[in-house]
Amino acid sequence: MKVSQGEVEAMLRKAARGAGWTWGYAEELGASVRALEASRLPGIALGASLLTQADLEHCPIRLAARAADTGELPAEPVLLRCPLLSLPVLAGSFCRADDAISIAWPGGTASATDFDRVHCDADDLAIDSQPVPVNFTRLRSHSAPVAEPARNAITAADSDWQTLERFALGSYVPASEQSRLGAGPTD
Amino acid sequence: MTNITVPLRDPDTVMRLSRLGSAHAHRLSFMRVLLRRLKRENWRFSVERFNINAQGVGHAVYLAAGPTHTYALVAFAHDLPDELRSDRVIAEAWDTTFCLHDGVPSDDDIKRLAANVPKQEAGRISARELSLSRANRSVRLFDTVINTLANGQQPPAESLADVGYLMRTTAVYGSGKFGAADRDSICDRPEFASPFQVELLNVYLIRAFTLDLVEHMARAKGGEQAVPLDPELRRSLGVGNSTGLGMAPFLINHPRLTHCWIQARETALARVRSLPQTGAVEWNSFRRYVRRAKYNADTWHSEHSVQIPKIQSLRDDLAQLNAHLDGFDWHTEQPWNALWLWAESALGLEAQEQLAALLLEPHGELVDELADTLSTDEPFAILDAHGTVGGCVDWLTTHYGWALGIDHQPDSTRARFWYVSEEKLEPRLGERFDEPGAEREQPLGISWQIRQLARDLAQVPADNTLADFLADFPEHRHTVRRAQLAARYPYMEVRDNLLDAEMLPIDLLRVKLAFFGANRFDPRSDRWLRITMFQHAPFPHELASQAGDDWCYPQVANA
Repeated sequence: MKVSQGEVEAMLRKAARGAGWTWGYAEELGASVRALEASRLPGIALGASLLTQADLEHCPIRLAARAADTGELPAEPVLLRCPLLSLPVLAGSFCRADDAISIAWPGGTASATDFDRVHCDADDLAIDSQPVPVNFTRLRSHSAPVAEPARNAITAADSDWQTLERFALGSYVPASEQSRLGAGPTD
Repeated sequence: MTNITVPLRDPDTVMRLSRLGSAHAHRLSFMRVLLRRLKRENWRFSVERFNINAQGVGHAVYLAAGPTHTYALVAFAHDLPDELRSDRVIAEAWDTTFCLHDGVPSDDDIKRLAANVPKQEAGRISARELSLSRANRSVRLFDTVINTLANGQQPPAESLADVGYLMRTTAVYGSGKFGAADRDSICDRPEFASPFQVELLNVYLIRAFTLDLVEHMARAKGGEQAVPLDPELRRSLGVGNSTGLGMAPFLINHPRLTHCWIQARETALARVRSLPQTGAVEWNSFRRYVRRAKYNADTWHSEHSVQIPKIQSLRDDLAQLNAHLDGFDWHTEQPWNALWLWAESALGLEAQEQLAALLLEPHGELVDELADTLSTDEPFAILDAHGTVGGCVDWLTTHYGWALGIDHQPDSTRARFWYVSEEKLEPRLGERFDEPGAEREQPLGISWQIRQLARDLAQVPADNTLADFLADFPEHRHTVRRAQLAARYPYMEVRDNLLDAEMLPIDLLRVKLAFFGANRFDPRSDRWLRITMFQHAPFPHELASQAGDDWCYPQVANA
């Protein structure tokens, strides 16, 4: 189904929250998924899979957040699931001028010059696989062109969207008679 | 001349709920920005098709052609049984459903839209649609007006004034919802640079369609005997709107946008107050607007226990203002500022905020350009955790003193919680100690979140890194990220406790609606209200020949 970028970000945020993530990490996931989709990469599939795998220890969002917070990229390889999801926050945090952040894992490489300018060259995005070792590099004066972020609607796989909707249920409150105070019926 | 010598009002003054809940429409309100543009750019309006039968069922296409793009309101009119009519977001059928299409729709577009638009949230529109909306008839007025016109007569003005609209929208969705085009993909178009222009253009065209529909049904009923509505009566009808909690979280969820709106208005006010002198033209214009505002207040009715005293105080204060103006020497230096300073001590909040709007009226050349500052991008803000815990504490003291000063001890200060309902995915307000669901609350209690953050920061050595603090307390990431915007966006926060037992959600709704351009607020509870949009505005076919921006206050004879 076709969804807007705003809907993607909002849905991932709600789904992550529903899956028990704190609001802060949920926002970071939502924004990162949107950024990947804007870069024409399968962010929604990655996000749905990450939430399903429920593996906090190998979480690319937590890794990226920690690296951004400390200002230090991991010097050694780190085992991560869905490594692409780490790039937007890393790029948004580390990249100045012509910098790029590059990651490499057994299935491929990817780099980003900004939050939503991600370029990927991979046979295997490690969407559903076990955690893979990921190397991080900061490139100064990066010259490979990265396309303008897409602004238009995104096609989400029905199965992924349904997965996200199921998780998002955990962020809603079921109705009760007491809760039905709102706009009145008619004139 | 945009020299500002008077300071902008302090956020601690402006961003209090009681003052936000007394906001009035003004020159920078979005409906007015829209109509000024439509007139200035000579937009051309036409009815491309009107396939509606005598019962008022069918579809129509209304075109609005600007300098570079044409937009189409695609309207579907249905035969809704009375017992199914509801303004609630959980309704499933409506009298009329609409979308705003980007361009002139093809027959295939119409077929696709006919299959989806009437379902509203249950259907999907495409990126070629910019907005989705629906409207219900005013049960009190719709049939009465048709019957009266069918009999060759005009309905009495008082009966129209009492309600103010024949149809009311119960939701107008834009910005990427339900498949519609994202704001990002259209915000480069000058006509959509200011906020909510898509949605308000949608409503403006709905108004035109509604009046045409009523006259059409009157003609079908009365034949040759039927008459159209008198033009002035026609203009006295706007589009009603029922606004509930759905809109309330917006200001909190879009802090940068909120800041821009408020700052634009405060800048406008400061510019006017800074003027070293004024002239007879501006002074007389101002006095006319005050009289019109007084008339507006005199004819503003509400049955709500909170609103009634506010309207009364507004009437009394505007009478007092008029008396003060009679004796006021406008030749004095910085006359508008002198007047403002008097009002701050002499008038209540409703009248102060009304005056803040009125001061802008004669000064279009000075303030209208600030419409360009109403919008802003809202890119994801990367959290900056490179400092220390002590640095974060200092930041909160500097920018969130208002939150730290709120007493969160009594249960009443945390009595409410905001949440999203599973039933229809709409925002609601719950009672924390009486209802289930608080563990799933939305993060709208900013003052409480700041307090929790400050409490945890205080437990940790000040020279610890903020990065390590956030690793230990990840629940505060969201709050820290938000708080870091405060230096650049001083008007971004509603500086009151949004979880308090006494908090009135209608205060949040009112300020947003005032920025939309509504100027009569009719609360029906503490969490929903009725307004009318575009009331007294010229219709599309009248824009070329009438003033495009003189409709915000009703005309008064001898004003």
